[in-house]
Amino acid sequence: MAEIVLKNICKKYDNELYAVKDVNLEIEEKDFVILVGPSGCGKSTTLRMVAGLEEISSGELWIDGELSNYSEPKDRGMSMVFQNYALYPNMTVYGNIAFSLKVRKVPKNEIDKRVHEVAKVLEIEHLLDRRPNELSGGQKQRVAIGSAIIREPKVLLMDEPLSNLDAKLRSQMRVELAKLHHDLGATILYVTHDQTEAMTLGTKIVVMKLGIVQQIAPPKEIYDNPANLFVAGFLGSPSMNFINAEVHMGNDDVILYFNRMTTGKKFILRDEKADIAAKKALNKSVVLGVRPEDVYTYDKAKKLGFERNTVGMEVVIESREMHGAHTFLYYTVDGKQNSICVSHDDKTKVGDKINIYFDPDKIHIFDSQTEQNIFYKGENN
Amino acid sequence: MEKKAFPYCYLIPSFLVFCVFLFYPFFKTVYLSLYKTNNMGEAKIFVGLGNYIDLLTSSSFQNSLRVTIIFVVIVVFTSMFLGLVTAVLCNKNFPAIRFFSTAYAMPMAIASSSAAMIFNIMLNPSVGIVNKLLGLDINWLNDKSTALFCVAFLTAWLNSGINFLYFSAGLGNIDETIYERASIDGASSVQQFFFLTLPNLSPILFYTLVVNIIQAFQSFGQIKILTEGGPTESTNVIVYSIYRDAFFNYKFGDAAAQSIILFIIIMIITLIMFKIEKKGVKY
Repeated sequence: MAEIVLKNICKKYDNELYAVKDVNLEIEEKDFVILVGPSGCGKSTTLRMVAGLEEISSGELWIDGELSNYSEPKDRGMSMVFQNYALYPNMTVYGNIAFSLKVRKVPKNEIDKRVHEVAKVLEIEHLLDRRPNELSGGQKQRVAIGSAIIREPKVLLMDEPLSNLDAKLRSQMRVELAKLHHDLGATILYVTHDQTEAMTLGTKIVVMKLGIVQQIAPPKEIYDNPANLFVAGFLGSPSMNFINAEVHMGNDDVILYFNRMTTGKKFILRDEKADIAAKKALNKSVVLGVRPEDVYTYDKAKKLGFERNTVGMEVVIESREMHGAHTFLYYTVDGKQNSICVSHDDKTKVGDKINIYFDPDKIHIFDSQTEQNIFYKGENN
Repeated sequence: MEKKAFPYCYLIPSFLVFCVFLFYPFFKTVYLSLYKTNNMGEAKIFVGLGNYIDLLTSSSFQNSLRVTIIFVVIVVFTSMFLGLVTAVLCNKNFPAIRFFSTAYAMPMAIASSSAAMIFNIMLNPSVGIVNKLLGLDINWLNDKSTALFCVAFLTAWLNSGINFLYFSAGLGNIDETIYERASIDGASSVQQFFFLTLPNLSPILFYTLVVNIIQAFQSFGQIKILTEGGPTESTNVIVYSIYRDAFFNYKFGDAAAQSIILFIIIMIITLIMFKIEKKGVKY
């Protein structure tokens, strides 16, 4: 049974603008659901509506089979970790963690036991007597999480909990959050604008833009099968390469012509993708999308047997970024910065001209007008 | 040498002002309190602590002390309570909030004497609106049992305006999200008030308390206009008693001694308060 169901949830402000429009989402037990999107996409508003901090303008919120649009925040069985941690400055760490039990009149010795258990899990036992202003960012973060999990809530809501931490601490807390989710078996609804957090933590990702859900799917699914141009560009780092093209037939092949057919730059589709493109996008202008790791240099492409599919894509390398195991080379096509992922020992230098080749099985084609992925196979795939 | 002396020159203007208006009157008062004076206020006969001993043994001054303490307690509690309640009410966003905020802060802008005049009319036993509304027939300001309360209440109302401002500023400084977290954590609004609002206001509460106590001790204008210390000295607070001794009875020595005693009382209370602050104000 789904624990939380959002049905056509909308948030409309006085000026008739939708902050959130028709969100449909099912959160099942032990799900780690990530709401992700750029600033102002309505992800926090959605979370706050689930928490009961914002009124739901229309739609239904079902919690454990009960319509809960109007129930009080405290009666929803949830707890929340805020972006700024929202620790009570007048209380010690102990008081902060114990607060939700204290106001529920849980016996003192029971509270004491639970606080110490939670503090042990989060390794903050030595901080229990301190006040929030004596803690570092990471410690505050742990206290906020401790305060949230002590009540063993049905759902743990997190609103950009890691965004105030520095990069190193953030990746460390990311690992710990994943562990916590696994150990506690908690259901988590998590808001972030950081696609790395989304990809690494989530069991299900909800990508939002301008108040509208773009796609809901597990991380791998969303990465391999993005519904539209926005999702494809938002998730993945560096972002997916996009190149404008037109789909035409030529010598029985379905061909993507770059730059209006005149320059001879083209890409020959094959197999199923060719069939679909011929059916859905023939003679239309489209956007070719391909992830940096699916772009190859000549040697590798030849080895993999698709060096003939890409013709004339000569690019000038403008910059080079070492990322440890991989190196990314950046180049510009149609005024847009694109990249190719090569191994760390690749010798290509800035200023070199190289030919690039796209993996014909991994490409995506987006309709220029609707921005939909023509290969997208629908929700339940 | 010159370099070292130079910075002190900057202090001279303010130091001069302090000397003329603060230090000189203060030491002159200490000096006068040790003498019997003539009608012109000139020190004539040295009596040492005689003025103080006379005062502390006089029933009139003991009454003044008692009245002052009752007055201060009522004024401080009522004005802080009014200020806190109005500030909490105005800490929400709702239509006409500006109107209410202005109204609650208004007493700050009213001169105590004009407010006293208005109260004088309102409390008039035959034409005053208070008796008319309550259907009572009480001579509020001429009755020993009510006069002190009336004066104290007026003072509390006058002081509540600035308290409203202090508390509003204090409430504005409390992070809004802790209330959101508290509402999810399950705290009722009453619990939120006592567990979060009050403790988080404690630094401001403390400051306001100190200022209010000092202010209450020094109230004068409204008492002068409404009761002139009467009836039968029931509103004869120390400040008014000083005024009367100095400018009606021309006992400047007595008045100076009372001023010094008042100064000592206020100083002791303030020192005690600051000692307590270290324990009471939590962060």
